[in-house]
Amino acid sequence: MSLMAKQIYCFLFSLVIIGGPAFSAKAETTTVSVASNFITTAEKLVVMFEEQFDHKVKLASGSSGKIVTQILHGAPFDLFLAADFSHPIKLIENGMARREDLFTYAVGRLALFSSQIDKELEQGTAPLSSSNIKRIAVANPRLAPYGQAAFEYMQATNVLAATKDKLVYGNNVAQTYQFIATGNANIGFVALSQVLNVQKGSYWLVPQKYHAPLKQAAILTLKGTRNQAARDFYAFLKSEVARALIRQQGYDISEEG
Amino acid sequence: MLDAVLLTLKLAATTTFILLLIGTLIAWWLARTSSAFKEVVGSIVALPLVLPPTVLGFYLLISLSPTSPLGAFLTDLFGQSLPFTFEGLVVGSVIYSLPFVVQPVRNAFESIGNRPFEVAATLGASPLNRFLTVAIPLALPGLLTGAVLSFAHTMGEFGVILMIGGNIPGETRVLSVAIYDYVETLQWEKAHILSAGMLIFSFLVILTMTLLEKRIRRRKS
Repeated sequence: MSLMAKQIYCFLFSLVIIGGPAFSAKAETTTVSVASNFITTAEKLVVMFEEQFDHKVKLASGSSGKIVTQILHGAPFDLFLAADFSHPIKLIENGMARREDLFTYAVGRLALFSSQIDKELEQGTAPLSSSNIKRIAVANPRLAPYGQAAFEYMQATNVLAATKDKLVYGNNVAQTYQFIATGNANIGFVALSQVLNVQKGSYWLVPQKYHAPLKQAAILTLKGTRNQAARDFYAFLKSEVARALIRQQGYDISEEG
Repeated sequence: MLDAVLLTLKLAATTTFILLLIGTLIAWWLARTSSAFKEVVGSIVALPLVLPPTVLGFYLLISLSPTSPLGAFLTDLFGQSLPFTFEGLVVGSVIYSLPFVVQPVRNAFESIGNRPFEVAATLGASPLNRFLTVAIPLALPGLLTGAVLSFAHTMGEFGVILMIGGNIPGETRVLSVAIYDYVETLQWEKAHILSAGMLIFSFLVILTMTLLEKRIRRRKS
């Protein structure tokens, strides 16, 4: 190791020593993993929750697939708010969670969004096959349920063949949105919750009849069942205030829970 | 899966070829100039060594977008916008791997010293002739090092491509992104195959570099 590298290591080491005790743990802290489409709503829920309870909630967002991989390898997540049903079920199958701790906390809605003002789009009459549209952003259907739903819609409306060469894939709806917001893609499929409060642009709500319902399930991990803060937050998700907020953020609420 | 491997090899080869041209010229200028800006330019070239790839990716995504002035100009030039295309990845990779070519080549040029050029000049060689027949052959080990390093570095590139690639099979879905995808979709067997391949490849690169350096040192002494 060169002298320079040694100096850098010493510096980093001293940072760890000094910075270590700087944060103090509250009585009850829980770490919650959230699918990317729900992160902004989850942040608002956490604010409400922390006003009511003396707990602290830390949020970690990512794609449902990545979160499952991480939990299977010992990631310390107490609660998982997924983008679908199948990923939490993988945790149950692997003995990392219990089936009775699974419930639908939200039903997502798919939106077609452009960062330009587009009256045609808002009417739902903007053809994706039009030559003005060079790039259509969509979340990777193998990773993101919203991407899967977008494909179901394109299949149902017979535009898949015409749009195939225009598609660019975001890793999740968050990246897909970013492709459209930066103007790199003219239009794309995102979650309604992402575009509900956007000032600049137009969107069209894709009718539910074109794709399977985007039921999003929450599940406590076995680790989470032993954490009071996680259990309280899980119960809070079922409360009327939380459900009202979730609805207001562009999701439907499943009645069967 | 083979798609991703071939695409990555194509990207690495294209990037290395372009970098050997651009990088050598920059290295030559840096080695021979006495300009006051020399080290400023040198530092800018070296930036990708310490700059997080996501920063580079973010700036590229913004600046190459058809809605930005530069992006609009490039869109007219290429007939399409650069992000989400193979050409866009080449642009990103060239910037990202620039220091890996410039530094070894610059060092090689600098270690030649002035004498061989003075001798060549007395024998009536023009500046261009001196560059091609004296500088390049003498700096060959440095060029080789730069080529191997930039090729290997591009093979493993991830952050920049994740930002500007759009994950299109056969166009921008490179090895590292494919591995990332396989892990996320819980297809670990495929992830294992590609990862093990990359592990062996990386080991061979480092071994080759070490042996190359040994030979060069032996030849010098």
